[in-house]
Amino acid sequence: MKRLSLIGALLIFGFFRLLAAADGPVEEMAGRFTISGNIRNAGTGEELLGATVLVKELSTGTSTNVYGFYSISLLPGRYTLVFSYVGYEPHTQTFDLRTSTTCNIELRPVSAMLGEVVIQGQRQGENLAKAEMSVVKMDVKTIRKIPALMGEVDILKAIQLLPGVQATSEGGSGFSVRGGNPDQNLIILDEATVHNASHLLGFFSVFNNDAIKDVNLYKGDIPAWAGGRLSSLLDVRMKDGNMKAVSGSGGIGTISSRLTLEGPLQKDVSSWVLSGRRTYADVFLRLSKNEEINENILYFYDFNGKMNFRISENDRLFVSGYYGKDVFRNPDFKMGWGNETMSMRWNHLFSKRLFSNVTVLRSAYRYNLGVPEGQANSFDWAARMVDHGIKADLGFYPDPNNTLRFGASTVYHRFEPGVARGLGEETIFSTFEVPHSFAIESGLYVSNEQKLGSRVVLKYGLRYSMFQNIGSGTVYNFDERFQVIDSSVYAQGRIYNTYAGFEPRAGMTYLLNEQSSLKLSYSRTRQYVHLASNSTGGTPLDIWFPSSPNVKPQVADQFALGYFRNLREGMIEASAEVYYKMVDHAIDFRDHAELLLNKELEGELRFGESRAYGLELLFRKNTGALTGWVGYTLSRSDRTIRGVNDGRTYRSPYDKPHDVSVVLSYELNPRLTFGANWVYATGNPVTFPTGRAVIGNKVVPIYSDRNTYRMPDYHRLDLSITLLGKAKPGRNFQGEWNLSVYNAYARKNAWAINFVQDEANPEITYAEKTYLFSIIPSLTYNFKF
Amino acid sequence: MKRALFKIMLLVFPSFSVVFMSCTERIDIELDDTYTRLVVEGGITDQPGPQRVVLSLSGNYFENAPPRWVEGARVSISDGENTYLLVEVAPGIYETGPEVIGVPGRTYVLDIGGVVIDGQEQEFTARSTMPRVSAMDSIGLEYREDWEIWQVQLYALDPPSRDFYLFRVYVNDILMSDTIDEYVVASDEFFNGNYTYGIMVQWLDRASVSPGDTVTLEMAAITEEYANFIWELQDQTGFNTPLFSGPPANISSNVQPGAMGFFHASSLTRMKAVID
Repeated sequence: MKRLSLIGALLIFGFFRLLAAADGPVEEMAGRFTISGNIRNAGTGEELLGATVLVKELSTGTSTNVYGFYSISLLPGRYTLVFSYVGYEPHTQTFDLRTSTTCNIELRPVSAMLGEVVIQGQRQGENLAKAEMSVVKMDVKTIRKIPALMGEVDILKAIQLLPGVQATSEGGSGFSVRGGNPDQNLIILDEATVHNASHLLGFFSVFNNDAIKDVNLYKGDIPAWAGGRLSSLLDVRMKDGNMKAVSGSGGIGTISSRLTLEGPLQKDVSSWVLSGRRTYADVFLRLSKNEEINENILYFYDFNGKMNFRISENDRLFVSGYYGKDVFRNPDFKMGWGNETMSMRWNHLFSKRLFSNVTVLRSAYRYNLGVPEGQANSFDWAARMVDHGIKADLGFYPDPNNTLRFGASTVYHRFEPGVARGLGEETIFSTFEVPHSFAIESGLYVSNEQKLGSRVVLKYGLRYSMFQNIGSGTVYNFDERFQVIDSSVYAQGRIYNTYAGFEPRAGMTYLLNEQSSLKLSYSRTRQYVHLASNSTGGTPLDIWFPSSPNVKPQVADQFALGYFRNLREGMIEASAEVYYKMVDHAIDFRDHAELLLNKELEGELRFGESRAYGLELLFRKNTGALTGWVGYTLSRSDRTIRGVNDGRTYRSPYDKPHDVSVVLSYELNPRLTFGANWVYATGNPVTFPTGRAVIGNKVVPIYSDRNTYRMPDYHRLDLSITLLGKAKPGRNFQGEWNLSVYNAYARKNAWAINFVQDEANPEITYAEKTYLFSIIPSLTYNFKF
Repeated sequence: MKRALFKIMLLVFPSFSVVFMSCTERIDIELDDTYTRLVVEGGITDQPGPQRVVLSLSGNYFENAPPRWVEGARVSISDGENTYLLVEVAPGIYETGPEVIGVPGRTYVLDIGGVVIDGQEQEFTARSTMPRVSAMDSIGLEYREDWEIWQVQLYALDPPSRDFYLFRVYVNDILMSDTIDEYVVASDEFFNGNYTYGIMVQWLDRASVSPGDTVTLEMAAITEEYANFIWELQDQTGFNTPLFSGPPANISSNVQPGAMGFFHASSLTRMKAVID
């Protein structure tokens, strides 16, 4: 503990030193002056994330942070700065730098005709020189071109098409990154954690594409500012809202419709955006003559809302929220589930070199189900998880060669794993409650990105994370056979268990030449909160549980090495990455685990190690009429867990050696675009029966070792055509028809394989596959104004 | 009951697949062979004998043939004081005489000898303690139009102890719940000490009964291990999907060493009603 407080003190001391250094008279640190400001979209006033600033004379530069802020400090002199962003016309400005300057830049989106020429020159080489690896940025435009299931454009489905990322089940929005569990992905929406990112049992994600500005996926090299999950960080940023004029977008689709409106509250000062979506499958179901179908009601809806205010030159406030709910109901049963997130962020510039953001956040996931009142089995069952947190992140830009980030965060977790109670007078059920539990998860970090000469970029950081279980709480004590011996009850407010540790993150980029670079990275991540689910599909009943005296945090170490090369003068970006990941205290579940409404859930857990390794190849073409990418992943992942599979190593459920995705978009003319994607993956590992016993007139399976068989290989082709309406001068309204065909050659991909006893002849058993989607065409009309 | 709650959902969730147009199709799959295990099915109740134990051998999964019965084994049940020898009345079927009646609270030990598996003679043993069944007040029969079934409803008070129930139903003294996936097993975890208010504990298809038929509900008190065994068996022989099923796993057994199946001690009570 002593050591920890010492480090804490050092970090805090360093923090104040920096604040002091960055303030007031020290502005001209080392004789440098600062050019800083925001880079925005000229059309809407939206901040551009990751836009680049290049100092021509020095061949160095910087890029904007997630709030569109940049800062670069240079020795006095004359400089030409080029501000650029993919899909926007670059802006060049000359500075005679004698004093620090604020310069907000607005970039104009390129018209379709100009596109190709502009992007090339500026963007070239950026991917090579960046200090980060295993990161994929997807802009909403790219995602929109991808053919989608039932026309529902979805960022999570788009992400699954990247190397190293897999869908966990057909059509689902759950994903596994580099062999990790879906619960090892940190998904944040404007900084607030999204605990269950799916609608309709995973067939749709909670992200409404129209409300989203920017998506970044970190597959391994997770930045020091983020923590709490082992495998990946999916950083989703909502639109800020049009600062210039009221505008909108929306779509009418086969299964849902959506509408987004945005506009200024006060021009160039404040703005709002509101976005909503609802499915209407239930409307059609009600029309069905089949009673079993028309009594079922199933739908989801969600809202995104955000406001942002430029309070002063140095202060900015964002308030954003998401609320979504799924509803399923028929006369005998009802069920609902949903997420909500809320974040309030305050950006403040302490000086032109020191940017800060403070976030206050809340996020919750809840579900409930039950049988309506009036029957002997009437009950209501509800579960919930709520986070409240505060974070502070600071960025310090002392000179063009260093970008420092540091900050702290703390989150209060509240777990309500489930309470079930009988409803009405004549119900058999009493109240059954799994005790709530509480925990505080905190982190401190500091990191620096440093350029050494013109060839080497270093990125190094250290995160210190701590997790504390806090009363009131009940902890069951288990014997070696996972049977409960007794329980310990802790009073409210008492911290009864603490885990803490360092999470070093480091990376190096070495520019081999103009066309290629080599990158290395290492990261350690610690995960304190885990998902109680042993289905691969992910269900609405997913509930999270904290580390505790019985459950150690999972710790992952990942090494990655990558070679990046630009071909044909930057037209094609190619990369090859290899990685090796080890997880300590990996969690799996005992056979026949009972994860729902179980007070002794921790007795169902089994612990061990897991590892994953692989090679990822990506060829991406961002310019020209034909754009898209081809990705290939060769990977393995396995687990060794005491108490599962008799302690022998087995394949993880996400072990898919080969995975190919081809995503192409061809712009025939400015109005007509064709899209196609094709995916191929080795079948998921599964356990099949090898023997049979007849018990109670049933053929009972005797299984192979865990996951020794595989599902049939998976492949699928999707196609789309997008036709843009004619642009009419003087009219802002623009419509677009999108025809998508999911599973174009109607491959019957197995979703599940069951072994079935023949009803007519019970001695005969056979294998039967269930497939969900045959060919599914869909038509969507999108518009914006 | 936890699992029963879950089953309610499974009944409901197929409607999701209607929405997503799921289809099924037979496929060919190559499976490996596995070694042979003894399969035991049997028990002792507090009703007059014969008490029965059935022995068979496991086979390869796609064997698609009747089980091989274990003939000529030595089978006995003892309660610590008495040991009853079971006689092979048909291939693989071993029975006591009618005079053997179990007593709640006693622990019964099954011993099996002389079983030849792959040329080796082996011995097995199992034990089970008989729980005491509580009384039913009455049963009800109610036809449910939308599901086209007769619901068999129970009125009873659950005692304060931790109880596990097994429900089976007879029509005119013929067992209708004759395969193990038709057994209804419940734990009182969520209704301990409560009145049952006519909750549905079994059901009959409309076609299987006609007016005037006598319906008998059998309620048995079983051990927690036997309840788990049946639940696991029902899970592993039921429909599995990536959404709601955990990984497949072998079902437990109380027959050692390394056999399949279960030897159970249970006490039971029955009540009749007539369809009108």
